[in-house]
Amino acid sequence: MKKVLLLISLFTAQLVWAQNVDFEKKNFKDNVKGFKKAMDSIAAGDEFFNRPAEWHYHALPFYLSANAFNPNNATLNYKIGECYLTPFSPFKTMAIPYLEKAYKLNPNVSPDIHYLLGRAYHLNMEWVKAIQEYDQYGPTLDPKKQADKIADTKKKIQECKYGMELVKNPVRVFIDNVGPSINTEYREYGPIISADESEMIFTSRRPNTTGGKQADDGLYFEDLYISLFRNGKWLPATNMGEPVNTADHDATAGLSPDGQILYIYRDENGGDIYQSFLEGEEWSKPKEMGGKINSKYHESSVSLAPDNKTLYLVSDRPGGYGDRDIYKVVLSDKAKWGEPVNLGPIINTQYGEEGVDIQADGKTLYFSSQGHNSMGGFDVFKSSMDSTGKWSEPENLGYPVNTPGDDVFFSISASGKHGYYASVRKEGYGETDIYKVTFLGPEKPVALSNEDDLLAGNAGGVSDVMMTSAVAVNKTRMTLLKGVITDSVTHLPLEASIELVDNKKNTVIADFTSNSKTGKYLISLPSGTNYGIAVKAKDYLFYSENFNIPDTATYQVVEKNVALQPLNIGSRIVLKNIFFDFDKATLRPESTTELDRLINLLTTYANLKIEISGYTDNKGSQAYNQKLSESRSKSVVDYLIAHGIASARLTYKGYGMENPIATNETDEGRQLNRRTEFKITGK
Amino acid sequence: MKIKLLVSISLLTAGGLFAQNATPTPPPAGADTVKTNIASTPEQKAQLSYNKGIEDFTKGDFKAAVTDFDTAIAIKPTFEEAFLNRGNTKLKLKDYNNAIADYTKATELKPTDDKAFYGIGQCQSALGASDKASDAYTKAIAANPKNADAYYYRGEIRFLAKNYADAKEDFTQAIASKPNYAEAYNDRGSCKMELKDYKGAIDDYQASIKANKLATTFDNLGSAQRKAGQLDAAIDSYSQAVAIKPDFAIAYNNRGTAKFDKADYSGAIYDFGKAIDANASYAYAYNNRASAEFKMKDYDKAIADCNKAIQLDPNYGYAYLNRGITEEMMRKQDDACSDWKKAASLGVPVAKDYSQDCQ
Repeated sequence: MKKVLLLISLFTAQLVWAQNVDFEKKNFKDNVKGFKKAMDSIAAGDEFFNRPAEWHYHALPFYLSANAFNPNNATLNYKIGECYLTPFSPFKTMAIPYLEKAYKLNPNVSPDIHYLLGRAYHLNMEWVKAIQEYDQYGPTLDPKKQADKIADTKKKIQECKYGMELVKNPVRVFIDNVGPSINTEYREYGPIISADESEMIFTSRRPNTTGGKQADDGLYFEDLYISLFRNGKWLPATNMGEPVNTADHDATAGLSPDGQILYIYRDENGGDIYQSFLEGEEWSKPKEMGGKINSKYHESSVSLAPDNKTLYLVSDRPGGYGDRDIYKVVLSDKAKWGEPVNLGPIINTQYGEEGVDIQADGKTLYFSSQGHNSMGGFDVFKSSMDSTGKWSEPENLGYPVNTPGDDVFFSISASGKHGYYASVRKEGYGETDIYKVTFLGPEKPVALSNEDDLLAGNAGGVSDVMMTSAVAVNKTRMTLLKGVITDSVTHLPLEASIELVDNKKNTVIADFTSNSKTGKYLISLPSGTNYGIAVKAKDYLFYSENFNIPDTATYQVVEKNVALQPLNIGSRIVLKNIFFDFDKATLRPESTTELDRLINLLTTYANLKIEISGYTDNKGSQAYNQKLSESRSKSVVDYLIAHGIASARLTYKGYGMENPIATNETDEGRQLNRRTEFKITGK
Repeated sequence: MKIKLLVSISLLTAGGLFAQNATPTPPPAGADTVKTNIASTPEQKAQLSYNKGIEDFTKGDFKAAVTDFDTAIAIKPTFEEAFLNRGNTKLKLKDYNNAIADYTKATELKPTDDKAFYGIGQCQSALGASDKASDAYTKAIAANPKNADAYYYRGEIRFLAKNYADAKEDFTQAIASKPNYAEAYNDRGSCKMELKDYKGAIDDYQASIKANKLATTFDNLGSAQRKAGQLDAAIDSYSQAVAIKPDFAIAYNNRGTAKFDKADYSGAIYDFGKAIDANASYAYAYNNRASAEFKMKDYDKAIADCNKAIQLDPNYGYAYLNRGITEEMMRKQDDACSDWKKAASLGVPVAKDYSQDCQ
């Protein structure tokens, strides 16, 4: 690549108009040796040029060498321009001077010279010139035989018009190449980012691919790589190895919100999605996803919603709106993925859609599309789902996130502040690289201060501060809950199930499982809900926790480590999701889920005997508090008996304000002291 | 001789007793003259002392004038004009409370003495008692509905109380009684500007300039034009202001803002620099120059100017806001958050929104 660049810098200076000089011996009688060498270079370049387009870029060093010998050959200049425009070339706009010269030397150098000039100007965002070239190309096409090219040219003119508008109002972002720990001179793309942005898995076509072989396009087979973000920087990426990678194509397709399931694209059955589970620190052998996710057509990208039951899928199966479309798939009650349903014409177009990613709020969909108001190639869009399930008109993320080239595989962080995607940019390390987008939100206007002596009779002047209008900050209202589940006695990590309950609706929203080896878990909780969390493991007392996340809460990470107690006599826990009416012993409806959990425990362990104990804070008299706490304990026991638990297994006691577990000096402490506990008295 | 003296006194009191510091137009005379014969009757002696008082006042010897008026009043305790003029003289000596006592006595002796009520208004204003001053001006207007200055000063009090509609009406009445009242036109223009009637403000400032070319009025005209979106006209007006008053920092600062609004950031930087040359402690100009430097992406200079503005005024919320905005673009998010939080604590509402996204 450096050689190519050097040649560019040497020879662009020679692009001075002259007459066409053919590569014929008679024109170079005084330098026969040089002529022969140039002809050899052209022949070597043609070796690549005569292959499919993705090979053309490899012809460049040879052609540039020949061009140094004879810079005034229209055909060679045309070919150099064409090579610069091939897919994944990071220097596409370098085509411009060569194509301009080719046209100047011979306007009939190739039938598609205006098209290539249009493409080069288009990619260089010279919109007016690009449209002029496309306009000249269109009439040269035969409407009957070249209808596809006519349609393509019209589309590109429209893209230029969209580009003109988008560039007028650039969005406020920082776009950073994620650096050489991840990007190389080879292709990197398909980044998927963990919710807390601590890990990135991506696809690359670099030499240390599993099996070390090249595919038909001359590039190494795709493999998945992983990099960890530590102390403010990405650590050098490593090949994820087997069983995730094979000797064939293995590419990223998605990651579950809790980071426990990795979705992998494999070049099987027309292109299918596989899934691999994180078992401890190892990824399991990928298995085809099953259900109706895969077809004999091409499936390339998936994104699992935070409810763990809704999957968004990219596929080119029949029945869509054209090319690849985005589908929604729902997990059935039997834990099978159902029939994919096309998201419809608001999202999908007659052109390609790719790289789907649902945000942690479960409502904002990011994807790339060649349609809508793309300014060229794939642009990244976002759409939001309203309460009726309807998607909003996709919004182009704007310039400079999007460019006239391909901007694709966008992965948004849980905070919504950052996105990661693949793009080809001049500042890259070569071919497609991974970039991080930092969203700065609407413009923050600077404030000027002014004053005038408004009153002629008042020497003091009247102050007058001038200020432009304020922006909505897009706030992502999201709490990430993460931590480690352990055994309270041995302190060893535990694989436990984590049940997430909407306390108000009294419904289980989702089930999660902590990592079997590390005990780690990670859950996304949108704001505005009172959540109950129950952690359960076989032969352990369950643990419950209540999180009330107000609607106004912004992005935060809460770390909650849980130590589960083994089912031993004397073990006790606080039932944090049992609620009573104020100053009464009446159980509130939102307690049902927690009580049912207790019933399940007592049903599963039929010999278990327990005591339910009630406690209060120190407000009020001891006698009153003792009576209230006893009444409340009894309410719980009555509920359990009414639901089939033998009364002989149950005792209850009110302790009033005794045994506080926190200070009674603060509201928070008193709230903790007002509690219902149970302890095991026999088993 | 007698007639000449009397005429002379009449002119001086009209022009001198209420003269303020150069501008604004002096209020009308609060003092009255007395026609009398030279004689040695007590009445005549009182009148002579009174006239001597006016003479001393004209010379600027206010203490002597007070003594003269004391003598006149001692001889003739019902000498209303002497009370009035002694009040005027004490006002010049900033002896406001005793001046009010004299004016009050004058109104007791002559309840229709609008000049005495007016004098009370002036003293109460000086004492910071705006409501009492406004009441006094209202009484002066009731006594003489053509007292243009009473309307003018009541208008100013109403303006400062942000009662722009009533203030505008007072300035209109002042102009009706005194058609070339440049200051009243200026102030009515300011009322209209505060009421966002920029076209009306421009008309009034131009009428004021027609009567008297005040640098302040050119500056105000420029600000009305700037707010009306007439940026080129605004720049011309500010230029006239600084041509009259070359050290007019406020006008340079405003011209810089008009250039900023035209996206002429280098021109704006020049003008904010001129404002700083005229007033090295002008925090606004440093903050504004930082804003233009920010637009030029010259972030280091913008930070330095914000620092200077904050050094000059540690409670300058908008300078913290702008420094935070600049730091954000310099990728110093923690510093930006710290500055936005500080700006929010100083009452800059938008800063609270910005800092909400900070961890």
